[in-house]
Amino acid sequence: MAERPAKRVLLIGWDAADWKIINPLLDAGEMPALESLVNNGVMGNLATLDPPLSPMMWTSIATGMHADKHGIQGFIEPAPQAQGVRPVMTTSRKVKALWNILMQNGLKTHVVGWWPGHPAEPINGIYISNHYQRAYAPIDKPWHLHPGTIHPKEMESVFDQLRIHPAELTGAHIMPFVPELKKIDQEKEKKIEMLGKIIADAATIHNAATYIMENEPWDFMAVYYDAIDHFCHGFINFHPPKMEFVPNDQYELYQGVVNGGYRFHDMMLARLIELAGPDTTIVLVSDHGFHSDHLRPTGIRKIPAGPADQHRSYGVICMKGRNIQKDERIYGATLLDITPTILSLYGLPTGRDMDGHTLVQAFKKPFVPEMIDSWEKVEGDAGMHPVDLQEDPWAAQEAMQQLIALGYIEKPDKNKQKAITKTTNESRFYLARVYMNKSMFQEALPILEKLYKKNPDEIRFGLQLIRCLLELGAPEASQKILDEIKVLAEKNRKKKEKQTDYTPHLDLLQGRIFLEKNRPMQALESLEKAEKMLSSHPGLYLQIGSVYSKLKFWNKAIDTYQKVLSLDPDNAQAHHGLARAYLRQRRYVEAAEEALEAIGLLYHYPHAHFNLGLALLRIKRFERAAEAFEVCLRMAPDMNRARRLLIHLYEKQLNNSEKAEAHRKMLEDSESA
Amino acid sequence: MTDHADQEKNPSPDTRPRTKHYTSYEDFYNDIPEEGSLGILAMGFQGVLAWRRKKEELKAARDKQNFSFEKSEENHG
Repeated sequence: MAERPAKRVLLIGWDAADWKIINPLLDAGEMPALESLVNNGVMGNLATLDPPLSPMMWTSIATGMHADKHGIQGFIEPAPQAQGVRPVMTTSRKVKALWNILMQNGLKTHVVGWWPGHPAEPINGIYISNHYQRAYAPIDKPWHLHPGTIHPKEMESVFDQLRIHPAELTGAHIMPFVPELKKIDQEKEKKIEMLGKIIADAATIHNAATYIMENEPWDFMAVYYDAIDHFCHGFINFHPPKMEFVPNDQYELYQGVVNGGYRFHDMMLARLIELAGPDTTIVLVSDHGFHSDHLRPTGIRKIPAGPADQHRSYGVICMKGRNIQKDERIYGATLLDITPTILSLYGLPTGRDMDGHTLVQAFKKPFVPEMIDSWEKVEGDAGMHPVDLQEDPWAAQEAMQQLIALGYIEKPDKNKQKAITKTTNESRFYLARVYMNKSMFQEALPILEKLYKKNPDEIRFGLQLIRCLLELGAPEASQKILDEIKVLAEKNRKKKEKQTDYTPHLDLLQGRIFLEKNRPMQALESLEKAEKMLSSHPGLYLQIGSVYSKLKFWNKAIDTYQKVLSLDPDNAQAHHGLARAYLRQRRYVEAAEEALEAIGLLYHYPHAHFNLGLALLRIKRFERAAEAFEVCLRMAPDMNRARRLLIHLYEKQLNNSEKAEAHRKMLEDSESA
Repeated sequence: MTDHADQEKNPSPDTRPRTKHYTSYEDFYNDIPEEGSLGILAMGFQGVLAWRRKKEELKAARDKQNFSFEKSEENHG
């Protein structure tokens, strides 16, 4: 084992936490515990993945892998023996989680509430499933723990007592969130009941975590709180600034709930920091952010996982520890980097099969992380389930009800087979999106073609297929599908079916197709049509920026990308668009700066690395340019243009014939393939 | 799209049974001030267990007081 920078690690998950909401609270001194982490450690954005669905994301955080490898593909999955569907389970994860790897290395690990986390895994410490906290019966009725909720089983009686039922809370617990509680008729208004449940659930998880930290030896502890996501889905529309459609009286009552939720989490964080002690490295992360400003959607699409439209592309990361930098920002982190980083904190190698990388920039001492081919090949007890494990169907049913009520999944069809087919379609759709997120368009294409062929009424599938075809440079095939979808959408519109109006999205895609067909003026026309329904939509202006770039109207392109940034300052694509426009205007320093901004926001962005390389090449920063092209090619090995430039750089400027030759060989292989 | 009115009709993320109405006053058995309420939860299991003990003590004291009151009522006819 290499040098071990951390004695022990506490990994805290705050689902949906977002700096945009946190920063004003930090400035006002209302999150002192988090402020102490920020001031004494590193902080940054944590780029999420697509699709941004929490069980997939938290599994990527815990494995360092995309969902095509880890196997959790959505909220629900078919149950064994064709018995309908069930929420995703730990038994469906195909690879080791961080805690399994740490256990194999003799470290004592505990896990509380991870999602998916049921049934509890038989690790060497305590594992509390994510079904633990849900009160499913009134307070005066039995409320037993389901089998598989606690590992080891003999600890059930301890953790049973630590649960808080929502009815145990009082008005005093609600009033910090809703000071005017007495004005509310709770018989008619259900929001207060929802609030009580969110608070009780979070407190229950916190009780379990604090119990373990005080009473058990530990080297690693992971605890996941889902409450911020629930506070936000329930109350973000009441968060300041006031949204036009929200009635004044409702706004007055509930405007403080989201901030109250963050303050409550900060109080719990203070206790965790205290119990962890100064020798513990603390890593706090969220899986995605949450739109809280003018980018909040005004409605939720009635499609599976529709509420995910409220999610923002950047979650948070904050790390503090003896060997972690102090008061620094880190850039380009993704949630795939968490597992490799924590392995490095223990001096353990990262798997080459992991999609993330150690966040070396966060460490005080620079180092090159050790690698092994895969942790999957390492034998020995890792505390995973035996393959034939069956889980408790009742616990699964309750978790299903919660997901249905949140709007993440539709009510399953009574017909089991129909429900299974729907669920399978949904998870295939998510898998295709995962492939597209990884720029594996050839792998996504057959999945989307099959989905669209079998479900021509599912406009979502067709739209995603068009996007995929466009990435593969097939505008004619895209146009054919778009024409079919337009007919269907028009039919739906005439029938006045209450469902998503896709018109502006169709215009947007039509714009992209025209652009791909090299008809920029027609593209502009389509986009202007879309603008009538999608004003202040960053995606629309990105497209318009692309059209101006195609037309070589660089000043107009720059203005448009700046308009995107005025709407959404963290938009990596807009920074990249600016970098390209500045390059064409021979403003190379500005181009390099914008490319760096894009990479800082979204590290896995091969085109941004390419344009950074190009800008650096022009200002004769040859070594840095070569580094940028190398990174670009690691992410997109088929970008032959980058490889040719790299060969040229190694041959003519850096005098490295060995590397030039290696890349030439790869170029030949790629071209012959 | 669901509009705001739809969200109003079905705002709860949870289908668990309705439990209680929360009151803005502190009842005798749950005697915690508003400013300390979340602090007790944030303390974790120790805070919650201490709060539950306190509630039990208060309940016992109240029961005893009621018992004495009833006794004295009886004695005074």
